[in-house]
Amino acid sequence: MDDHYPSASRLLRDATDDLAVDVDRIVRGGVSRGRAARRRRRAGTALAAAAVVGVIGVAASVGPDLLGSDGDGVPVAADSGPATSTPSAPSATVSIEPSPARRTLAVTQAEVADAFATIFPGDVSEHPQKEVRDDAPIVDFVWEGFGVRVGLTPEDYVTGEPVGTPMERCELWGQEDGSPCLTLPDGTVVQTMTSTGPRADGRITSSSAWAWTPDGWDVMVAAHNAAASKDSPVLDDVPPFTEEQLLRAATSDVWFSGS
Amino acid sequence: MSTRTQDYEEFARARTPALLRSAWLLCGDTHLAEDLVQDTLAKVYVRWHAPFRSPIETPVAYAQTTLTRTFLSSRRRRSSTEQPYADLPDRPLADGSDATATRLALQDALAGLAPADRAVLVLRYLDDLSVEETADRMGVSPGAVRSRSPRAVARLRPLLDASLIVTSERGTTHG
Repeated sequence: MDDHYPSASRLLRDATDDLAVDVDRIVRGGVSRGRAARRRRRAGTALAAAAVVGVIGVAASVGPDLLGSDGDGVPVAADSGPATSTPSAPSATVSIEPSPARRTLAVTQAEVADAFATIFPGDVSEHPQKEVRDDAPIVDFVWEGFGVRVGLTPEDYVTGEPVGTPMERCELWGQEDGSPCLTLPDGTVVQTMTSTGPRADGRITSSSAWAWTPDGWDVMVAAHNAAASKDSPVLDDVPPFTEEQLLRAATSDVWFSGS
Repeated sequence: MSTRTQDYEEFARARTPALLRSAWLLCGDTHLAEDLVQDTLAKVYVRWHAPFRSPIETPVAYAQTTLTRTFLSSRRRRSSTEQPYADLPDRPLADGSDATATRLALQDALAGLAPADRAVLVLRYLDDLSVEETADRMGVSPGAVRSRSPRAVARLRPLLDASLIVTSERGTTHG
């Protein structure tokens, strides 16, 4: 059926031709809301507090290697503001030392996939990479048929200048729909998220983990239930790695020298 | 200010008038429209600045999709209190050159449409997208767009120039 109605187009345009638009004000408002969305990480409500407790359980289940050996084994959400504490949520103070010297990468971009396979053994093959950045590799590869992405970027990779503490970077760069930003005993702040993409992209489910380290590295590891993050057939109900496993990879020492 | 932020602000300034036009037709209210555009720009800002991710391939389409789905999502949340009505109110139309009168009449007509029908109208007839592109922006099937499209235009018929209307019913005119 021909559903082309030129007069409808003209009517809609005519009726909105002289709408008053204060572009500056609207853009300022959009930027402000965007920044606020990125910083919305504080556990200021009972719901958020409950979520923090849940994530503490998730992180604790990763094991003592991830949580560090000098703490009490319980990470806490630092800088949580006026959080509603619950009797079951242990409290501790995390003191973040001055930023240590940034470690150097132990892997080139071409070595990232093989390094990942030392954590989770399996066959890996790389996708063709658009860009080679050995100083800040972001690599898409296939592990046992499933798409995986690893990003190892210094904190000044996007802005060209240092961004801030691990918590500030998590609040700025973290995902609005992800878990709350959580500080580990060594000062690294972590976040995880699992989401399913739009139908137009094939409804692929991806799990991700991020680690913002005190020495200025931002590490991301993501896995999909398909060979790529979009436009690829779904291979399984869930990605091949849990958020906890991805967190283990994101906080692994294999990426850096002098760890 | 980083290059990425400068690029974002340049994009936002260039696209805001078009986004506001769409938003006004979707919301039927200037304040709600500005609110929707700011929400859209905020979401684009977050995606634009996301590390570890390649730049948005088609920012115009991304913003359009974000605006449409944010609107539809917000309307779904309020659907228990808002219902389209069956008949147009009996409002006299002013001269067609009078943009304000046209807007008022259009507001009335759009208010009688379901949110998804309004979205179809905006994407198909304001933004000139194909059925497939409209379906993609809305996250629905092309068939759903095809079925909504005539229904949505029918709501506007009293406002349209009858001589230009073409429908599947041969010879149909409206006045």
